[in-house]
Amino acid sequence: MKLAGFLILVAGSGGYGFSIACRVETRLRQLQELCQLLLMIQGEIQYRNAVLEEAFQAIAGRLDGWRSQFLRRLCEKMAMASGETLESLWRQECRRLRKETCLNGKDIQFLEEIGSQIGSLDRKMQVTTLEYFQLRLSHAMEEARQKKEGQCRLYRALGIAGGMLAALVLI
Amino acid sequence: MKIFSMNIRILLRKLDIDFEDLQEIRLRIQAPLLLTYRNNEYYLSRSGQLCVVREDAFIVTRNELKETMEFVSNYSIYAYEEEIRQGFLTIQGGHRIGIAGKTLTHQQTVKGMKYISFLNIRICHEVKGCADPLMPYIRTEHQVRQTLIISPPRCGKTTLLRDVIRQLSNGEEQKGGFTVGVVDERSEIGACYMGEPQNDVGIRTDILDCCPKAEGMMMLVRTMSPQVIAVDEIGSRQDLEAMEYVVNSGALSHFGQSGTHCNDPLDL
Repeated sequence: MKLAGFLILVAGSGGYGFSIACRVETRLRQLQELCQLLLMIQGEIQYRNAVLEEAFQAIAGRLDGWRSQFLRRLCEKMAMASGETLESLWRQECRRLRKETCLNGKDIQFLEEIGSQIGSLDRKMQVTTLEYFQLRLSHAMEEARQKKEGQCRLYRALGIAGGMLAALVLI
Repeated sequence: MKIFSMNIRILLRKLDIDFEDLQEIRLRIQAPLLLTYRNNEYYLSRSGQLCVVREDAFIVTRNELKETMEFVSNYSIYAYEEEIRQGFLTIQGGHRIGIAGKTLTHQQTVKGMKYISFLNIRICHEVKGCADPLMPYIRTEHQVRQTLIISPPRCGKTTLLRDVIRQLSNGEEQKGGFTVGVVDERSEIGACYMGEPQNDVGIRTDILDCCPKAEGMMMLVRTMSPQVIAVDEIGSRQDLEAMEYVVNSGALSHFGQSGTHCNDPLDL
C-alpha cells in the first residue's frame, strides 16, 4: 500500500512537472505559429491589398487549430459591425487565447498590441509595422528557445523530486 | 448605418424620417452634423431629431470621425489608399463618401491624406424609369443618337444618364439591347463596390471604374467592342479628343456634362 501510494505521488507530481515542461515546449511552437500568422497577414496586405476581414478569412481557411479559430471568431465579430473598434474586438479574442493556448501573459499583451496597430495606417506603414512586430517576436522566440532546455529539465526534475519528497514526508 | 460611429448610429436610429428621401449626411470635425433631407438642410439634434436650431445640434468629434472612417473602410484604411488619394470612396449600396482633410503632397501631386476631418456621405438613389420620356428621342427604331446631357450640378444628370445606360443595355421587348461601355471616372454611374456595380446599369454594360475618361474611352473601343459608350462630366481637351476617336471608331456615344446654358459646351 505504501509502495502504491509512493508511486502514485511520484507519478502525479512527476506528471505535473512534465505537463509544465510540455507547456514550455508548446509555447515555443505557438510563438513560431504566431510568427507565421503575422507573415501571412503581411502577405495579404502587401500583395493583395485585402481588407482585414477578407485577409483573415483567407488565412483562417489555410490554417487550423487556435489560429484559425482566433481569426474566424474575429471575422464573425467584424462582420456583425456592432460598433466596436477593431482594437476592442481583437483584444477580446486575445483574452480568450490565454485559456486556449500556452502563450503567457506577456505574449498575449504583445498580441493585443498588434491589434492596436493594424488596419489604420497606409499600406507601406502597415507592412513596416508588421515587420517590426515579427522582429520583436523573433527575439522572444530566441529567448524562449534558449531557456527551453533548462526549464524543461528543471520542471521534470522538480516534479519527480517533489513527488518523492511528498511521499517520504507523508509515508 | 453600420458605417457610423456608435454615438451617431444611436442618434440616426432615433430619426423618424423616410430614409429614401435622405440625400446627404455631412460630418465635420467640431461642427454640427448636417443632413440634407428632401432638398433641405437640417441639423441632427442630440436627441436624434431633425432640427433647425444650431444650439441643439449634435457636434461631431475627432473620435467619431476616426471611428466612422474605421467602419467605412472595413477596419482597413490602408486598403483604400488610392481612393483616399482621389478624395472619395464607394461603399456597399453604391453610396459615395467624399473625404477631405490635410493632404500629403509630393511635387504638386496629392499622395494621401493625413487627418481626415470632413466626410460627405451621399446616399445613392437610383430612379429607374426617369429616362422614359427621353428614350424615344435617343433610340429610334433603327438607330441610337449621340446624346449630350447638359445640366447644372445636382439636378439629376448622372441619375438620368444611368437610366439611359440601363435601358439601352437591357433593350425593350421588340428591340434588342446594346453593348454599352461606361467610363465611370468618379464611380458615380455604376458605383462599383469591390468590382461589382451597386446600381443597375443593365445586362450588357461593361464598366471601367475609377478610370480617366480619355484613356478609358480608348481602352473600351480597343478591347470591349462597345456599340455605345457613356461617360460623365466631360470637360477637358483630352476628353474631346477621346470623343472624336470614339466617334471615328464607329461607336455611338452619350455624354453628360455640367453647364448652366446651352452654350457652355461650345466654350470647350
